[in-house]
Amino acid sequence: MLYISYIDNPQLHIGVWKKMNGQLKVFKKAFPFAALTFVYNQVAYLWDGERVIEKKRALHRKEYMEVLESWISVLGIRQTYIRYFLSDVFFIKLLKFLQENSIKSVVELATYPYDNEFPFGVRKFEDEIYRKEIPRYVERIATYTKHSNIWGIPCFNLANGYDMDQISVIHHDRRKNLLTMIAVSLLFYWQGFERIFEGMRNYYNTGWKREVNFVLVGTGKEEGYYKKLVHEFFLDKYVYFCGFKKEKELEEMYEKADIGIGSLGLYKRSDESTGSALKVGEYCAHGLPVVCGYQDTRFPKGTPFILQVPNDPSPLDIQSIVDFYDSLTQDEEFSNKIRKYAEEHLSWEQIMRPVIEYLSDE
Amino acid sequence: MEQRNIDTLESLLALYAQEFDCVLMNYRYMGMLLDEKNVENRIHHYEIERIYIYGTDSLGMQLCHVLHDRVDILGFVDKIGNKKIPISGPRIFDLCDFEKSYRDEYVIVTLTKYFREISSDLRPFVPSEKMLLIGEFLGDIT
Repeated sequence: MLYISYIDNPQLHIGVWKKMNGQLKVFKKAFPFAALTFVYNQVAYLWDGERVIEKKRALHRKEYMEVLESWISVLGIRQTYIRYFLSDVFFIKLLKFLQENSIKSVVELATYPYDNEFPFGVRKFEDEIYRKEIPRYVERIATYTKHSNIWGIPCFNLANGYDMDQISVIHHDRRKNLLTMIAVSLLFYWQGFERIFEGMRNYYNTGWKREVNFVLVGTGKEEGYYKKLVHEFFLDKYVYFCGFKKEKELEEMYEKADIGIGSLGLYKRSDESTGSALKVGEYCAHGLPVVCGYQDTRFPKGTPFILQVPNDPSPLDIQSIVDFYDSLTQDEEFSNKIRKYAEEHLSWEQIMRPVIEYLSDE
Repeated sequence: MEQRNIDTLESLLALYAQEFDCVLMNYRYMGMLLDEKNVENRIHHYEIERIYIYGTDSLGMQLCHVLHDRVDILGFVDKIGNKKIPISGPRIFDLCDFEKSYRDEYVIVTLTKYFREISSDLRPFVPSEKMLLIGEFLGDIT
Protein backbone atom coordinates (compact mmCIF):
# COMPACT_ATOMS: atom_id res chain seq x y z
CA MET A 1 0.00 0.00 0.00
CA LEU A 2 1.40 3.39 -0.94
CA TYR A 3 0.32 6.68 0.61
CA ILE A 4 1.17 9.27 -2.04
CA SER A 5 1.49 12.87 -0.98
CA TYR A 6 2.60 16.01 -2.76
CA ILE A 7 3.71 17.74 0.40
CA ASP A 8 6.96 19.59 -0.14
CA ASN A 9 9.09 20.00 2.97
CA PRO A 10 7.39 18.18 5.84
CA GLN A 11 9.39 20.21 8.35
CA LEU A 12 7.35 23.27 7.42
CA HIS A 13 3.96 21.57 7.65
CA ILE A 14 4.11 20.00 11.10
CA GLY A 15 0.33 19.54 11.42
CA VAL A 16 -0.04 17.86 8.03
CA TRP A 17 3.04 15.74 8.67
CA LYS A 18 1.65 14.55 12.00
CA LYS A 19 -1.67 13.76 10.38
CA MET A 20 -0.17 11.80 7.49
CA ASN A 21 2.00 9.80 9.86
CA GLY A 22 -1.06 9.03 12.00
CA GLN A 23 -2.85 7.70 8.91
CA LEU A 24 0.24 5.81 7.77
CA LYS A 25 0.44 4.02 11.11
CA VAL A 26 -3.09 2.73 10.56
CA PHE A 27 -2.29 1.64 6.99
CA LYS A 28 0.75 -0.21 8.30
CA LYS A 29 -1.44 -2.20 10.65
CA ALA A 30 -3.94 -3.00 7.90
CA PHE A 31 -1.62 -3.93 5.04
CA PRO A 32 1.51 -6.09 4.86
CA PHE A 33 3.43 -3.10 3.51
CA ALA A 34 2.65 0.60 3.70
CA ALA A 35 4.83 3.63 3.09
CA LEU A 36 4.40 7.33 2.53
CA THR A 37 5.90 9.35 -0.31
CA PHE A 38 6.71 13.05 -0.34
CA VAL A 39 9.17 15.45 -1.95
CA TYR A 40 11.75 17.72 -0.43
CA ASN A 41 14.25 19.85 -2.34
CA GLN A 42 13.77 17.92 -5.59
CA VAL A 43 14.20 14.54 -3.96
CA ALA A 44 11.34 12.03 -3.64
CA TYR A 45 11.25 10.07 -0.39
CA LEU A 46 9.75 6.72 0.50
CA TRP A 47 9.10 6.87 4.24
CA ASP A 48 7.93 4.04 6.47
CA GLY A 49 6.93 6.21 9.43
CA GLU A 50 10.26 6.04 11.17
CA ARG A 51 12.92 6.04 8.52
CA VAL A 52 13.60 6.73 4.87
CA ILE A 53 13.39 3.47 2.91
CA GLU A 54 14.57 4.98 -0.35
CA LYS A 55 15.05 8.34 -2.01
CA LYS A 56 15.34 9.34 -5.64
CA ARG A 57 15.91 12.65 -7.35
CA ALA A 58 12.74 14.14 -8.78
CA LEU A 59 13.55 17.50 -10.32
CA HIS A 60 9.96 18.35 -11.21
CA ARG A 61 6.43 16.94 -11.22
CA LYS A 62 7.01 14.71 -14.22
CA GLU A 63 9.95 13.02 -12.57
CA TYR A 64 8.03 12.61 -9.32
CA MET A 65 5.29 10.81 -11.25
CA GLU A 66 7.91 8.55 -12.83
CA VAL A 67 9.45 7.80 -9.44
CA LEU A 68 6.02 6.95 -8.03
CA GLU A 69 5.28 4.63 -10.93
CA SER A 70 8.60 2.86 -10.49
CA TRP A 71 8.04 2.39 -6.72
CA ILE A 72 4.51 1.10 -7.38
CA SER A 73 5.83 -1.46 -9.86
CA VAL A 74 8.91 -2.55 -7.94
CA LEU A 75 7.10 -2.85 -4.59
CA GLY A 76 4.10 -4.63 -6.09
CA ILE A 77 1.71 -2.01 -4.71
CA ARG A 78 -1.99 -2.95 -4.96
CA GLN A 79 -3.57 0.03 -3.17
CA THR A 80 -2.85 3.76 -3.02
CA TYR A 81 -4.18 6.55 -0.88
CA ILE A 82 -3.43 9.90 -2.51
CA ARG A 83 -3.43 13.21 -0.67
CA TYR A 84 -4.57 15.51 -3.46
CA PHE A 85 -2.81 18.77 -4.16
CA LEU A 86 -3.89 20.06 -7.58
CA SER A 87 -4.47 18.42 -10.93
CA ASP A 88 -2.04 18.60 -13.79
CA VAL A 89 -1.15 16.42 -16.73
CA PHE A 90 1.18 14.27 -14.62
CA PHE A 91 -1.36 13.69 -11.89
CA ILE A 92 -3.87 12.49 -14.46
CA LYS A 93 -1.22 10.26 -16.04
CA LEU A 94 -0.55 8.75 -12.64
CA LEU A 95 -4.27 8.08 -12.09
CA LYS A 96 -4.44 6.48 -15.52
CA PHE A 97 -1.45 4.30 -14.67
CA LEU A 98 -3.14 3.19 -11.43
CA GLN A 99 -6.35 2.34 -13.25
CA GLU A 100 -4.59 0.44 -16.02
CA ASN A 101 -2.78 -1.62 -13.41
CA SER A 102 -5.98 -2.26 -11.40
CA ILE A 103 -4.55 -0.53 -8.33
CA LYS A 104 -7.33 0.40 -5.97
CA SER A 105 -7.10 4.04 -4.98
CA VAL A 106 -8.72 6.68 -2.82
CA VAL A 107 -8.00 10.37 -3.37
CA GLU A 108 -8.14 12.54 -0.24
CA LEU A 109 -9.24 16.14 -0.63
CA ALA A 110 -8.00 17.78 2.55
CA THR A 111 -9.82 20.99 1.55
CA TYR A 112 -12.90 21.31 -0.62
CA PRO A 113 -13.89 23.52 -2.30
CA TYR A 114 -10.38 24.88 -2.70
CA ASP A 115 -10.71 27.38 -5.55
CA ASN A 116 -10.42 30.40 -3.27
CA GLU A 117 -7.12 29.17 -1.92
CA PHE A 118 -5.55 29.56 -5.36
CA PRO A 119 -7.17 32.70 -6.76
CA PHE A 120 -5.01 32.92 -9.91
CA GLY A 121 -2.00 31.55 -11.72
CA VAL A 122 -1.15 28.83 -14.17
CA ARG A 123 -1.48 26.10 -11.53
CA LYS A 124 -5.12 27.09 -11.15
CA PHE A 125 -5.53 27.08 -14.91
CA GLU A 126 -3.95 23.61 -15.15
CA ASP A 127 -6.13 22.37 -12.33
CA GLU A 128 -9.30 23.62 -13.96
CA ILE A 129 -8.40 21.80 -17.16
CA TYR A 130 -7.28 18.50 -15.71
CA ARG A 131 -9.50 17.97 -12.68
CA LYS A 132 -12.37 17.34 -15.07
CA GLU A 133 -10.64 14.08 -15.96
CA ILE A 134 -10.44 12.78 -12.40
CA PRO A 135 -13.86 11.03 -12.47
CA ARG A 136 -12.63 8.85 -15.36
CA TYR A 137 -10.00 7.31 -13.13
CA VAL A 138 -11.09 7.63 -9.50
CA GLU A 139 -13.90 5.73 -7.81
CA ARG A 140 -13.68 7.08 -4.26
CA ILE A 141 -12.77 10.38 -2.66
CA ALA A 142 -12.08 10.97 1.03
CA THR A 143 -13.06 14.38 2.33
CA TYR A 144 -13.38 16.21 5.63
CA THR A 145 -16.57 17.92 4.51
CA LYS A 146 -20.12 16.60 4.44
CA HIS A 147 -20.26 16.14 0.64
CA SER A 148 -21.66 12.77 -0.33
CA ASN A 149 -20.00 13.11 -3.71
CA ILE A 150 -17.49 15.43 -5.31
CA TRP A 151 -17.16 15.70 -9.11
CA GLY A 152 -19.70 12.88 -9.22
CA ILE A 153 -17.43 10.56 -7.23
CA PRO A 154 -18.80 9.04 -3.98
CA CYS A 155 -17.06 10.26 -0.83
CA PHE A 156 -15.86 8.90 2.48
CA ASN A 157 -16.59 11.60 5.04
CA LEU A 158 -13.64 11.69 7.40
CA ALA A 159 -12.90 13.76 10.46
CA ASN A 160 -9.50 14.80 11.72
CA GLY A 161 -8.09 11.98 13.78
CA TYR A 162 -5.35 11.53 16.35
CA ASP A 163 -2.53 9.14 16.99
CA MET A 164 -3.50 8.14 20.52
CA ASP A 165 -0.08 6.61 21.20
CA GLN A 166 1.39 10.11 20.98
CA ILE A 167 -1.06 11.74 23.41
CA SER A 168 -1.10 10.95 27.12
CA VAL A 169 -4.11 11.38 29.33
CA ILE A 170 -3.88 14.15 31.95
CA HIS A 171 -4.67 13.11 35.49
CA HIS A 172 -5.97 16.00 37.50
CA ASP A 173 -5.33 17.06 41.04
CA ARG A 174 -8.87 17.97 41.95
CA ARG A 175 -8.04 19.08 45.48
CA LYS A 176 -6.27 22.19 44.33
CA ASN A 177 -8.02 25.50 44.64
CA LEU A 178 -7.11 26.52 41.13
CA LEU A 179 -8.72 25.85 37.79
CA THR A 180 -6.63 26.25 34.65
CA MET A 181 -8.19 26.67 31.22
CA ILE A 182 -5.99 26.10 28.17
CA ALA A 183 -6.37 27.14 24.53
CA VAL A 184 -3.89 25.68 22.06
CA SER A 185 -4.50 27.53 18.83
CA LEU A 186 -3.53 30.21 16.41
CA LEU A 187 -4.85 33.50 17.73
CA PHE A 188 -7.24 34.57 15.00
CA TYR A 189 -10.38 36.65 15.33
CA TRP A 190 -12.71 33.66 15.15
CA GLN A 191 -11.27 32.26 18.39
CA GLY A 192 -13.33 34.91 20.19
CA PHE A 193 -11.24 34.68 23.35
CA GLU A 194 -12.28 38.23 24.30
CA ARG A 195 -15.43 36.52 25.57
CA ILE A 196 -13.32 34.67 28.14
CA PHE A 197 -11.45 37.81 29.19
CA GLU A 198 -14.72 39.69 29.69
CA GLY A 199 -16.06 36.72 31.62
CA MET A 200 -12.97 36.61 33.81
CA ARG A 201 -13.24 40.33 34.49
CA ASN A 202 -16.83 39.82 35.65
CA TYR A 203 -15.81 36.79 37.69
CA TYR A 204 -13.00 38.57 39.51
CA ASN A 205 -15.19 41.63 40.12
CA THR A 206 -17.67 39.53 42.10
CA GLY A 207 -17.20 37.24 45.06
CA TRP A 208 -15.05 34.56 43.45
CA LYS A 209 -14.04 31.51 45.46
CA ARG A 210 -11.60 29.68 43.23
CA GLU A 211 -8.74 31.07 41.25
CA VAL A 212 -9.24 30.57 37.52
CA ASN A 213 -6.35 30.93 35.07
CA PHE A 214 -6.25 30.94 31.31
CA VAL A 215 -3.19 29.72 29.40
CA LEU A 216 -2.95 30.56 25.68
CA VAL A 217 -0.52 28.46 23.65
CA GLY A 218 0.02 29.84 20.16
CA THR A 219 0.44 33.14 18.42
CA GLY A 220 -1.46 35.05 15.77
CA LYS A 221 -2.84 38.35 14.60
CA GLU A 222 -5.08 38.84 17.63
CA GLU A 223 -2.30 38.42 20.17
CA GLY A 224 -1.72 42.16 20.58
CA TYR A 225 -5.43 42.84 20.95
CA TYR A 226 -5.83 40.03 23.48
CA LYS A 227 -2.87 41.23 25.53
CA LYS A 228 -4.29 44.74 25.56
CA LEU A 229 -7.65 43.49 26.82
CA VAL A 230 -6.02 41.35 29.51
CA HIS A 231 -4.10 44.38 30.75
CA GLU A 232 -7.15 46.67 30.64
CA PHE A 233 -9.20 44.13 32.58
CA PHE A 234 -6.44 43.71 35.24
CA LEU A 235 -6.08 40.04 34.39
CA ASP A 236 -2.29 39.94 33.90
CA LYS A 237 -2.02 37.74 36.99
CA TYR A 238 -4.42 35.17 35.61
CA VAL A 239 -3.79 35.00 31.87
CA TYR A 240 -0.57 33.59 30.38
CA PHE A 241 0.53 33.99 26.77
CA CYS A 242 3.02 31.20 26.15
CA GLY A 243 3.62 31.55 22.42
CA PHE A 244 4.08 28.62 20.09
CA LYS A 245 4.93 25.31 21.79
CA LYS A 246 5.34 21.86 20.40
CA GLU A 247 6.03 18.30 21.44
CA LYS A 248 7.45 18.03 25.01
CA GLU A 249 6.89 21.68 25.87
CA LEU A 250 3.30 21.48 24.67
CA GLU A 251 2.69 18.34 26.70
CA GLU A 252 4.03 20.15 29.78
CA MET A 253 1.44 22.87 29.18
CA TYR A 254 -1.31 20.28 28.89
CA GLU A 255 -0.26 18.72 32.19
CA LYS A 256 -1.12 21.94 33.98
CA ALA A 257 -4.55 22.22 32.36
CA ASP A 258 -8.01 21.26 33.66
CA ILE A 259 -10.26 22.40 30.79
CA GLY A 260 -9.67 22.95 27.09
CA ILE A 261 -11.13 25.96 25.33
CA GLY A 262 -12.34 25.64 21.75
CA SER A 263 -13.23 28.45 19.38
CA LEU A 264 -15.74 30.92 20.79
CA GLY A 265 -16.07 33.27 17.84
CA LEU A 266 -17.27 31.18 14.93
CA TYR A 267 -20.32 33.44 14.72
CA LYS A 268 -17.95 36.05 13.21
CA ARG A 269 -17.35 33.81 10.18
CA SER A 270 -20.62 34.03 8.28
CA ASP A 271 -23.17 31.63 9.74
CA GLU A 272 -20.84 28.89 10.85
CA SER A 273 -22.10 27.06 13.92
CA THR A 274 -20.53 23.64 13.44
CA GLY A 275 -16.95 22.46 13.10
CA SER A 276 -14.40 19.80 13.99
CA ALA A 277 -11.30 21.72 14.99
CA LEU A 278 -8.15 19.74 15.61
CA LYS A 279 -7.63 21.22 19.04
CA VAL A 280 -10.96 20.12 20.52
CA GLY A 281 -10.20 16.51 19.63
CA GLU A 282 -6.75 16.92 21.09
CA TYR A 283 -8.19 18.18 24.41
CA CYS A 284 -10.49 15.17 24.41
CA ALA A 285 -7.60 12.77 23.70
CA HIS A 286 -5.83 14.27 26.73
CA GLY A 287 -8.92 13.51 28.83
CA LEU A 288 -9.79 17.19 29.28
CA PRO A 289 -13.35 18.54 29.37
CA VAL A 290 -14.02 21.18 26.73
CA VAL A 291 -15.77 24.53 26.51
CA CYS A 292 -16.80 25.28 22.96
CA GLY A 293 -18.83 27.95 21.17
CA TYR A 294 -20.12 25.74 18.36
CA GLN A 295 -21.50 22.28 17.74
CA ASP A 296 -18.53 19.99 17.16
CA THR A 297 -19.75 17.42 14.67
CA ARG A 298 -17.72 14.63 16.27
CA PHE A 299 -19.62 14.83 19.55
CA PRO A 300 -23.38 14.25 19.82
CA LYS A 301 -25.42 17.03 21.39
CA GLY A 302 -25.47 16.68 25.16
CA THR A 303 -22.05 15.02 25.41
CA PRO A 304 -21.44 15.43 29.15
CA PHE A 305 -17.83 16.58 28.96
CA ILE A 306 -18.50 19.31 26.38
CA LEU A 307 -19.90 22.59 27.68
CA GLN A 308 -21.40 24.27 24.65
CA VAL A 309 -21.80 28.01 25.16
CA PRO A 310 -23.82 30.31 22.88
CA ASN A 311 -22.29 31.12 19.51
CA ASP A 312 -22.49 34.90 20.06
CA PRO A 313 -20.36 37.72 21.54
CA SER A 314 -21.67 37.42 25.12
CA PRO A 315 -19.06 37.15 27.91
CA LEU A 316 -18.60 33.64 29.30
CA ASP A 317 -19.99 32.87 32.73
CA ILE A 318 -16.83 31.64 34.43
CA GLN A 319 -18.69 30.42 37.53
CA SER A 320 -20.73 28.11 35.29
CA ILE A 321 -17.47 26.70 33.89
CA VAL A 322 -16.25 26.08 37.45
CA ASP A 323 -19.56 24.36 38.28
CA PHE A 324 -19.36 22.29 35.07
CA TYR A 325 -15.88 21.15 36.03
CA ASP A 326 -16.89 20.35 39.62
CA SER A 327 -19.87 18.31 38.55
CA LEU A 328 -17.75 16.30 36.08
CA THR A 329 -15.04 15.62 38.61
CA GLN A 330 -17.49 13.95 40.97
CA ASP A 331 -16.68 10.95 38.85
CA GLU A 332 -13.12 9.82 39.65
CA GLU A 333 -12.84 8.21 36.23
CA PHE A 334 -13.92 11.20 34.17
CA SER A 335 -10.54 11.74 32.44
CA ASN A 336 -10.33 8.09 31.43
CA LYS A 337 -13.90 8.21 30.14
CA ILE A 338 -13.17 11.26 27.97
CA ARG A 339 -10.05 9.56 26.69
CA LYS A 340 -12.04 6.38 25.96
CA TYR A 341 -14.46 8.42 23.87
CA ALA A 342 -11.50 9.79 21.90
CA GLU A 343 -10.08 6.32 21.35
CA GLU A 344 -13.42 5.02 20.13
CA HIS A 345 -14.37 7.95 17.93
CA LEU A 346 -11.38 10.15 17.15
CA SER A 347 -8.46 7.80 16.63
CA TRP A 348 -7.19 7.43 13.08
CA GLU A 349 -7.82 3.74 13.45
CA GLN A 350 -11.57 4.35 13.76
CA ILE A 351 -11.74 7.19 11.28
CA MET A 352 -9.87 5.41 8.50
CA ARG A 353 -11.76 2.13 8.94
CA PRO A 354 -14.17 2.61 5.98
CA VAL A 355 -11.28 3.63 3.72
CA ILE A 356 -9.28 0.58 4.75
CA GLU A 357 -12.27 -1.71 4.26
CA TYR A 358 -12.74 -0.28 0.77
CA LEU A 359 -9.07 -0.61 -0.16
CA SER A 360 -8.85 -4.12 1.28
CA ASP A 361 -11.89 -5.36 -0.57
CA GLU A 362 -10.74 -7.36 -3.58
CA MET B 1 -7.31 19.61 -35.72
CA GLU B 2 -8.92 19.90 -32.31
CA GLN B 3 -6.97 16.88 -31.04
CA ARG B 4 -3.76 18.49 -32.29
CA ASN B 5 -4.59 21.66 -30.36
CA ILE B 6 -5.21 19.64 -27.21
CA ASP B 7 -1.92 17.79 -27.65
CA THR B 8 -0.10 21.08 -28.15
CA LEU B 9 -1.68 22.58 -25.05
CA GLU B 10 -0.80 19.48 -23.08
CA SER B 11 2.83 19.59 -24.22
CA LEU B 12 3.04 23.30 -23.49
CA LEU B 13 1.62 22.87 -20.01
CA ALA B 14 3.94 19.95 -19.33
CA LEU B 15 6.95 21.99 -20.42
CA TYR B 16 5.76 24.95 -18.42
CA ALA B 17 5.33 22.74 -15.35
CA GLN B 18 8.93 21.55 -15.57
CA GLU B 19 10.29 25.08 -16.05
CA PHE B 20 8.08 26.47 -13.30
CA ASP B 21 9.07 23.80 -10.79
CA CYS B 22 12.78 24.39 -11.34
CA VAL B 23 12.48 28.19 -11.16
CA LEU B 24 10.39 27.91 -8.01
CA MET B 25 13.02 25.73 -6.41
CA ASN B 26 15.76 28.18 -7.35
CA TYR B 27 13.90 30.88 -5.41
CA ARG B 28 13.69 28.57 -2.44
CA TYR B 29 17.39 27.78 -2.57
CA MET B 30 18.28 31.47 -2.78
CA GLY B 31 16.33 31.92 0.44
CA MET B 32 17.85 28.88 2.09
CA LEU B 33 21.34 30.18 1.32
CA LEU B 34 20.61 33.11 3.63
CA ASP B 35 20.28 30.73 6.57
CA GLU B 36 23.94 30.69 7.56
CA LYS B 37 23.45 28.33 10.47
CA ASN B 38 21.90 25.75 8.19
CA VAL B 39 24.70 26.20 5.65
CA GLU B 40 27.26 25.59 8.42
CA ASN B 41 25.40 22.48 9.55
CA ARG B 42 25.22 21.11 6.04
CA ILE B 43 28.95 21.64 5.49
CA HIS B 44 29.58 19.60 8.65
CA HIS B 45 27.01 17.03 7.60
CA TYR B 46 28.85 16.29 4.37
CA GLU B 47 32.26 17.01 5.92
CA ILE B 48 33.03 19.31 3.01
CA GLU B 49 36.42 20.96 2.84
CA ARG B 50 36.83 21.56 -0.89
CA ILE B 51 34.21 21.84 -3.60
CA TYR B 52 33.50 22.63 -7.19
CA ILE B 53 30.34 24.51 -8.12
CA TYR B 54 28.71 23.35 -11.35
CA GLY B 55 26.83 26.37 -12.69
CA THR B 56 27.79 29.97 -13.25
CA ASP B 57 24.23 31.19 -12.91
CA SER B 58 23.10 33.52 -10.13
CA LEU B 59 22.46 30.59 -7.79
CA GLY B 60 26.00 29.35 -8.39
CA MET B 61 27.40 32.78 -7.60
CA GLN B 62 25.28 33.11 -4.49
CA LEU B 63 26.47 29.70 -3.33
CA CYS B 64 30.05 30.80 -3.92
CA HIS B 65 29.43 33.99 -1.96
CA VAL B 66 28.02 32.06 0.99
CA LEU B 67 30.66 29.33 1.02
CA HIS B 68 33.86 31.17 0.17
CA ASP B 69 34.80 31.85 3.82
CA ARG B 70 33.85 28.39 4.93
CA VAL B 71 35.28 25.95 2.40
CA ASP B 72 37.90 25.93 -0.30
CA ILE B 73 36.11 26.62 -3.59
CA LEU B 74 38.29 25.06 -6.26
CA GLY B 75 36.34 26.54 -9.14
CA PHE B 76 33.21 26.82 -11.15
CA VAL B 77 32.44 24.25 -13.81
CA ASP B 78 30.74 25.18 -17.05
CA LYS B 79 30.42 22.80 -19.95
CA ILE B 80 32.02 25.18 -22.39
CA GLY B 81 33.89 27.27 -19.88
CA ASN B 82 33.29 30.63 -21.49
CA LYS B 83 30.83 32.14 -18.99
CA LYS B 84 31.85 35.48 -17.56
CA ILE B 85 31.45 35.88 -13.85
CA PRO B 86 31.19 39.53 -12.89
CA ILE B 87 33.23 39.09 -9.72
CA SER B 88 36.83 38.26 -9.18
CA GLY B 89 36.58 34.74 -7.98
CA PRO B 90 37.42 31.14 -8.60
CA ARG B 91 38.49 29.91 -11.98
CA ILE B 92 35.94 28.57 -14.46
CA PHE B 93 36.74 25.10 -15.78
CA ASP B 94 35.41 23.66 -18.96
CA LEU B 95 34.51 19.99 -18.80
CA CYS B 96 37.82 18.82 -20.23
CA ASP B 97 39.98 20.81 -17.80
CA PHE B 98 37.68 19.90 -14.95
CA GLU B 99 38.18 16.19 -15.60
CA LYS B 100 41.95 16.67 -15.49
CA SER B 101 41.83 18.63 -12.21
CA TYR B 102 39.14 16.66 -10.40
CA ARG B 103 40.34 14.72 -7.28
CA ASP B 104 37.26 13.20 -5.62
CA GLU B 105 35.87 16.48 -4.26
CA TYR B 106 32.16 17.27 -3.92
CA VAL B 107 30.51 18.94 -6.91
CA ILE B 108 27.41 20.98 -6.11
CA VAL B 109 25.16 21.46 -9.13
CA THR B 110 23.15 24.66 -9.16
CA LEU B 111 21.68 24.30 -12.65
CA THR B 112 18.90 22.04 -11.43
CA LYS B 113 17.01 22.13 -14.71
CA TYR B 114 19.90 20.47 -16.52
CA PHE B 115 20.89 18.12 -13.73
CA ARG B 116 20.21 14.96 -15.75
CA GLU B 117 22.46 16.07 -18.62
CA ILE B 118 25.12 17.35 -16.23
CA SER B 119 25.20 14.17 -14.20
CA SER B 120 25.54 12.14 -17.36
CA ASP B 121 28.54 14.30 -18.41
CA LEU B 122 30.15 13.96 -14.98
CA ARG B 123 29.37 10.30 -14.29
CA PRO B 124 32.50 8.94 -16.06
CA PHE B 125 34.83 10.58 -13.53
CA VAL B 126 32.77 11.94 -10.59
CA PRO B 127 31.40 9.32 -8.17
CA SER B 128 27.62 9.65 -7.81
CA GLU B 129 27.86 10.21 -4.05
CA LYS B 130 30.09 13.21 -4.70
CA MET B 131 27.55 14.86 -7.02
CA LEU B 132 25.02 16.94 -5.10
CA LEU B 133 22.02 18.90 -6.25
CA ILE B 134 22.06 22.23 -4.46
CA GLY B 135 18.78 21.22 -2.80
CA GLU B 136 20.34 18.07 -1.38
CA PHE B 137 23.23 20.10 -0.07
CA LEU B 138 20.86 22.58 1.62
CA GLY B 139 18.58 20.07 3.27
CA ASP B 140 17.34 16.51 3.29
CA ILE B 141 15.32 14.13 5.40
CA THR B 142 17.30 11.41 7.12
